[in-house]
Amino acid sequence: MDKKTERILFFLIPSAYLLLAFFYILLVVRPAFYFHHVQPPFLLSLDFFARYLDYPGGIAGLLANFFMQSFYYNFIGPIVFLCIILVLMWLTVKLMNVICTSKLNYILALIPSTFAIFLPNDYNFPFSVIVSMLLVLALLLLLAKKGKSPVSILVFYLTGAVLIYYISGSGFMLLFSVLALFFSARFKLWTSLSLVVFISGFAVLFPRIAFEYIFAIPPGYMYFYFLPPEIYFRTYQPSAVFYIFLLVVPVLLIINVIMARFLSGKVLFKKINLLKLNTMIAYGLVMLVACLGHQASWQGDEKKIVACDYYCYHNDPGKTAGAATSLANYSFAVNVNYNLAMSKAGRLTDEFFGFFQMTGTDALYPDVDYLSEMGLISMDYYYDLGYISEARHWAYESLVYYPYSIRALQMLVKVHLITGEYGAAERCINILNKELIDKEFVHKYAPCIKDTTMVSADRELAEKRSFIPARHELSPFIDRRFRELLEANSRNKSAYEHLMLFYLLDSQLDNFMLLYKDVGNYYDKPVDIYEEAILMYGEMKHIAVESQYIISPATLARFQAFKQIISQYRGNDMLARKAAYRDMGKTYMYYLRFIYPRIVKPEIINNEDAPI
Amino acid sequence: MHLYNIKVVGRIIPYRIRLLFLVTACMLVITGCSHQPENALVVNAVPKIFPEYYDLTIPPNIAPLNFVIKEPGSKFRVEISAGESKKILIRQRSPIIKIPRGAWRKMLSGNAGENLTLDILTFHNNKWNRFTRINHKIATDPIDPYLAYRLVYTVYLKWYDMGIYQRNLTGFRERPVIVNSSTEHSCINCHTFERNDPSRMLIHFRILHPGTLIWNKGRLSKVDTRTPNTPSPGVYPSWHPDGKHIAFSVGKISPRLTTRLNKPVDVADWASDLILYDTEKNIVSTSPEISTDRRENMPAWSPDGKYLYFISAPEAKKGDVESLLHAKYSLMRIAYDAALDTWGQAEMILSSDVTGMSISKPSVSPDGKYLVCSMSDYGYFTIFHKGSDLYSVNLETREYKKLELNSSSAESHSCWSSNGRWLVFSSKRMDGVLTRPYIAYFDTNGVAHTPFVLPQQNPEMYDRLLANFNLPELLTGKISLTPVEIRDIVFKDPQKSEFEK
Repeated sequence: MDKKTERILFFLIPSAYLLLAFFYILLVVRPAFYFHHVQPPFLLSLDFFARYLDYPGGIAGLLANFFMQSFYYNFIGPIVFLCIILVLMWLTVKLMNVICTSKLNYILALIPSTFAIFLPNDYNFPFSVIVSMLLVLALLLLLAKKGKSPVSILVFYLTGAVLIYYISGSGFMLLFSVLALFFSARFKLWTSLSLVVFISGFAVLFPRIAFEYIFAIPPGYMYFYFLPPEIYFRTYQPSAVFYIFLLVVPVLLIINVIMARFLSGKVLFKKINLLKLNTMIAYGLVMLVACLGHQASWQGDEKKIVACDYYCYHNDPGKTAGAATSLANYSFAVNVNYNLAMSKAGRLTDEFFGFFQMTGTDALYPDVDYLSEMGLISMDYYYDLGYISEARHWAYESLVYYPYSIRALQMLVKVHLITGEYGAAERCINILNKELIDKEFVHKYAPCIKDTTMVSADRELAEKRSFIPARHELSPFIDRRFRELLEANSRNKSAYEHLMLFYLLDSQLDNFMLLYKDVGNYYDKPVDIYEEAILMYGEMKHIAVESQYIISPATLARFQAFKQIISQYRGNDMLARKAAYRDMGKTYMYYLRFIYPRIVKPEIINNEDAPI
Repeated sequence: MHLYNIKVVGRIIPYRIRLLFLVTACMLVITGCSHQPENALVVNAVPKIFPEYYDLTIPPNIAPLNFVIKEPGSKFRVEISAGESKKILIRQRSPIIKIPRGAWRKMLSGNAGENLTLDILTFHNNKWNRFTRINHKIATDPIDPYLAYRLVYTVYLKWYDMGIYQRNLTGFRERPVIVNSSTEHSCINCHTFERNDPSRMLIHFRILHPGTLIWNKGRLSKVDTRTPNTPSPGVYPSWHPDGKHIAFSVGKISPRLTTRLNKPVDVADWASDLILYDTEKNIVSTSPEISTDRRENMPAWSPDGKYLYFISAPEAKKGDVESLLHAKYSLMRIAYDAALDTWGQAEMILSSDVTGMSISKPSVSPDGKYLVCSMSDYGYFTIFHKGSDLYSVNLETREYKKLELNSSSAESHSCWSSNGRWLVFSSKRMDGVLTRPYIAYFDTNGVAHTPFVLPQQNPEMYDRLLANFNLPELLTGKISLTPVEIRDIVFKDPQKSEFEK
C-alpha cells in the first residue's frame, strides 16, 4: 500500500472521525446537560472523599465525579470527554497490539470509544462505568506488557484484580479476570491451563470472601456491581449499548486472535501484514456501529426535558420554549419549567398557552405528587413565587436526591440569607467554597455573611424577604398558597398571576372576575388571555361584558372568529378543534372549550415512611 | 572627619555603609523583639473560635477539643496548660488547631479536677495579639468511652443515605455499625441500648427487609413485633434493666409540613399505646393502663426497672387537626414488677397543665434522682421545634426546671452516661438546621454545665457535613457486632411475635 493511501486510511480518516466525534459530543451529547441533570458532587475535602472509601466501587464514582466537574463548562467538558475517549482508544490499541500488532487495530479501537460516546446520551448513565473501563484496560495493559512469565502474570493479575475490585467493584473485577484469561494463554498448555483455572477460581472466590468477611455490601453486589448505588442513577436502565460496551473489548481481542491465526497461518503474537480489504471492512464496521449505536442510544424527548430544565435554570425563555414545544410526548417537568421560564422573564400571561397545558392546574403545582425528581424544579418555582419556606423545603429535599448539589446549595444560601439563618447560609457558602466550580457565586454572597445588612441592600433578596407568607400549616391546595402570598404582600405580581391562571385553568371564572378588579395594580397594558376570559365569562353568564370592561378590538375580533368556528362545526368538536387550532391554539378560549375539564387531585402526600 | 576604616576580607568598608548596617541591625533587633509572643499586645476579648469551646467542664478522657481560630492572622500560637503538666505549645500558620493527642491525654488524665487554660495568640498587622484566656475545668468523672448515633442525610421528609455509627470519645475513630447502603437503602432507626450496655442493642429496619434487630449478650435475632392485636410493630423502644423486656410504643404517626421556619414539620400522633416485648419468649403484651384511649408514647424505664415513665396526651378527635397536631403531652409513670409480670396503676408525674408545655423524650438518671425531658409548645417530636428545650425533673420533689444548657435553637433527645454525670443531647444550635451531639456535665446539685459539641479531628468537618446526628447514645464499650453480621441477619426473614392477652 502506498504512503498516500496509508496516510488517508490511518491518519486522515481516523482524525476526521475523531473530529466528528468531538462535535457529536459538543452538540449532541452535551456534557453540560449531563452535568446539569446528574449534579455530580465533588468537594476538595478529605471527609468528603472518605464517604467513597467505605465500599468497593466508591473510588470510581469519586473519579467520575471529578471528571464530570469539567462538564459544567460548555467547551471544556467536551474536550475532557474526548480526551477520555482517546485514552480509551489508545489503551485498546495497545492491548490488541500485544496479541497481534496491526494498523487495523487503530480502526477497530474506535468501536469501544464510539460506544463510550453514545452511552451518556442517556443522562441517567453513571459515568463511573467509563472510568472503570479505563482502569480495567490500564491494569490489563500492565499485565499484558509485564506478564512475561506465569509468576509475573499471577502477581499482576492478583494486584490488578484486588485493586479493580476495590476501586470499581465486583463486576469490573469479573471483566478484568475474563480479559486476563487472554494473556494467560500465551504459555505452554498445562501452564496456561493452570493460570486459567487459578484466575477463574480467584474471580469466583475473592468476591465471595470480600462479601462474607470484609465489606457489608448487599448480596446483589457480590459479583455484578457495575452501576453505583447513588439514588440519581437508580433510574438508569442498562441498554444494549451498555452491555455491548462491556463486552466489546473481549470480542475485539477474540477477533484479533482469530485474525492472526486465519490471515497469516502462523502462531499467535507474530506481526501480520496489512490487508486493504480488512481495513475497509473495519471502517464499515465502525460506521455501522456508529449509526446503530446512535439509533439505540438516542433519547430525543429525555434530552429535551433536561435541556428545558437547563435553559430555564439559566434564564433563557426562548430556548426553554423551543425545547418544550418540540417534545413528542407530554412531560410534566417540561410544562412546569416552561411556565417557570416565562414567569421569570415576565411573560407568563403572554406565553402561557404557548405550551399545551393539558394537566391544567397541576402544572402550577410542581410538587403535587411529592416526587424527588421534581425537587430542584419545585425549589426554583417556589423561590420565583416568593414562597421561601417551600423553596427551602425543596432545596433540602433535593440534597437527599443530589447530595452536595451546587444548584441546591446556591439556593439554600439565598434562602437562608432571606430568612436570617446566617449560620446555615455560612455553612452552605463554606461547602460551595470547597467545590471546584462556580466561585463567582461564593464571591458574591460571602460578604453578606460578614455584613448581614447587605442582605437588605440586595434587591432580589430584599424583595423575596418581603414576600414571605405568614407562618402556619402548609396548605395542600396550591391556590391557597398563592392566596397566602398575596395576603403577605399584595405587590407579589407572580402570586397574582399564578392565582389568576389557576382560576382560568380550573374554570373558576367567578373568582377570576373578583380578582380581576386588581389587574391595574400589576399591568399597564391589556392581557389577552384575561380579556378572553372576560368574554368567555360573559358568554357563559349571558352578560354583556363588553360594556363593563375595556376589551381590545383584536381580542374581540379573535373571540368572534372563535365563536364562528364553533358555530360552523357545531356537533363536531374534532373538526372545530382542528380548525381553531391554527390561529387560536394559544388562546384561553381554545383551552376552555377543548382542553378543560380534567380531573385534578390537589392533595399533598404525607410521607409516612420518613425516618422519624 | 577621619574615618576608621575596617578591613574585611581585603576590602575597606566605608563609614556610611557601616552606619547603615548598624542602623539596620538595630531596627531588626527592635522589630524582632516586638514580634515575639512575649511582647504580644493584650486584646481584652475572647478569641472567636469554632466550635465555641469556652469555659467548659470536660471529661478527663475526652478527645482533644480541636478548633479553628476565627480571628485574622498569618501565624497562630496556642498555649495549653493544666496544673504542673508540661505546657502544650502549638505554633503554626494554619488557624486549624489540632492538639496532639498524646500530650492532651496525659495532661487531662494527670489533672482531673484541675483547671485547664488556653491562651490564644495571633500574628496580625505585624504584631502578636494575645486574647483573653479561656478556662476549662477538667472533671474527675470520666465519660463513657463510646457514643453511638445515626447519621441521616435529611432535613425534612425525604431520605436515602443513613447509617448507625459508633465513635470513640477518647479519640476520633468513627466506625459504622451498619450503613443502609448495605441493606439496599432501607430505613434504619431507633438504635437503643440497655443502660449504656453495648452488648444489648436494638435497631429497627423499615420499608425494605423490615423487622427489629435485637442483639442481646451475644445472641442476634430479627423479630417482627407487629401482631393482629397491635396497630403497628414496636416503634420507640426502651430496654428494661433485666435485659429481657423491652417497652415499645405502637401506633400511627405521620409528618405534616408547615410554612413555619421555627417548626417546619409537625408529626401527627394519630393513636398510640405502649406494649411490652419479652425477648426470650418473643411475646408482646400490654396493660389497660398503658393502652387507653389516650395517646401513650415515648417509654423510658427507671434504672431499677420498677417504673415505666411515658408521655400521655388526650385522644385525637376525628377531623380535629388541632387535637391531632397540637396536643400537649404530660409525663406519667406506671409501676411494673418484672418478677411477677404485673403492672400497677398509671400516675401523673408532671402535667402539661402545670408546665403549660408538652413534655417528651423522658430519660431517667442512673441514680433515679432526676429525669431529663424535652418540652415544647406542643407535640412530642420536638427536634423540629425551635423552641424545644431540655428540662430536668427532680423525681423526689417533682420540681422541674429548665436546664442551663439550652440555646435559642431546638434541644431534644438526651442520654445519660453510666455514672450519671454526663448528658449527651441533640441540638440545632450550630446553624439552626442540622442536629449535632452536645455533651454537658451534670453535677450532683442537678446543674448542667456549659455544653460542647462532639470534638472532631478536623473541626471544619461540621461545616461540610449535611447529615443530622440522631439519637446520640453513650456506651460503656464498643459494639462488637460487625456490619457484615448485621447485614446478614437483616436479609433473613424475621420471627413473628405473638400477642399475649
